[in-house]
Amino acid sequence: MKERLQIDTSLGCKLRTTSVQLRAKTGGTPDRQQLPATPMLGRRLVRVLNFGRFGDPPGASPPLLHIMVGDQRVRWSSASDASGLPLRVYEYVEFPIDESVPLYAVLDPTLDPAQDSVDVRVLELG
Amino acid sequence: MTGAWPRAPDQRAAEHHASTAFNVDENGYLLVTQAASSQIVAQAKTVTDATASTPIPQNPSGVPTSLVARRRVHLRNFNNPDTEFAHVWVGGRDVTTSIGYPIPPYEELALDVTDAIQLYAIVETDKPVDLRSLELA
Repeated sequence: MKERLQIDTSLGCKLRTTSVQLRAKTGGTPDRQQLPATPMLGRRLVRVLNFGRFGDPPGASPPLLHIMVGDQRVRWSSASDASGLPLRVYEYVEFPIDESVPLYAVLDPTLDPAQDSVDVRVLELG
Repeated sequence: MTGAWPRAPDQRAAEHHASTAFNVDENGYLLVTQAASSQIVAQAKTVTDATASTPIPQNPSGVPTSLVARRRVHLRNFNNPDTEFAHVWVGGRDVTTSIGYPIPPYEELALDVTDAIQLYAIVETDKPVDLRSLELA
């Protein structure tokens, strides 16, 4: 049997879950929002989930209610001028990043700001 | 020892310690495993409380427990999505359905966390969830 180096990748002592209500804006390009607004100190992993329309019962939201995730340059001015990682409802993305790297998300600007905001769940481990 | 020159710092370190710690393969790659060493524990807990968080995993006696030197936890919502559609939300002690991380029926959440982190779960009123856990150490 070959000898192998064992690396412990487990995360030790901190866990936090938060919800961010990602809102569409009226007129023009919507503002991006930070996920979460205040990063957890000492974090080493972030998991971002599109949990559907804010206030909908679980499983009730249309799957095509996209959000776009990225850094501070993430944008969704139009379908052809988007930059970021799109997440449909119930899709998630996981990043091994610490608190010095802020994450942002933005909504499709064609959504109705009076009706459509998205419940984004964020899990941080450190 | 074989491998292309110049060798990477990791490989030089490996050569220094190769006899006692680890190996470098024929291509000069450090052999690494993330496999768990020796222990695995599976538990089942029906989470029913919608007003207070429930510590998980729990042993068959209903006592919160964590595998010593744990390195990974798998949590699975084992409700049937057709007949028992209900989510369970996971997080810290303060977890609620408003801020917790949801697990839909037949879905799983895997977390690389040690036994220093106590996990909690909560459900909606009158929507119990059969939550299965698998811990590795």
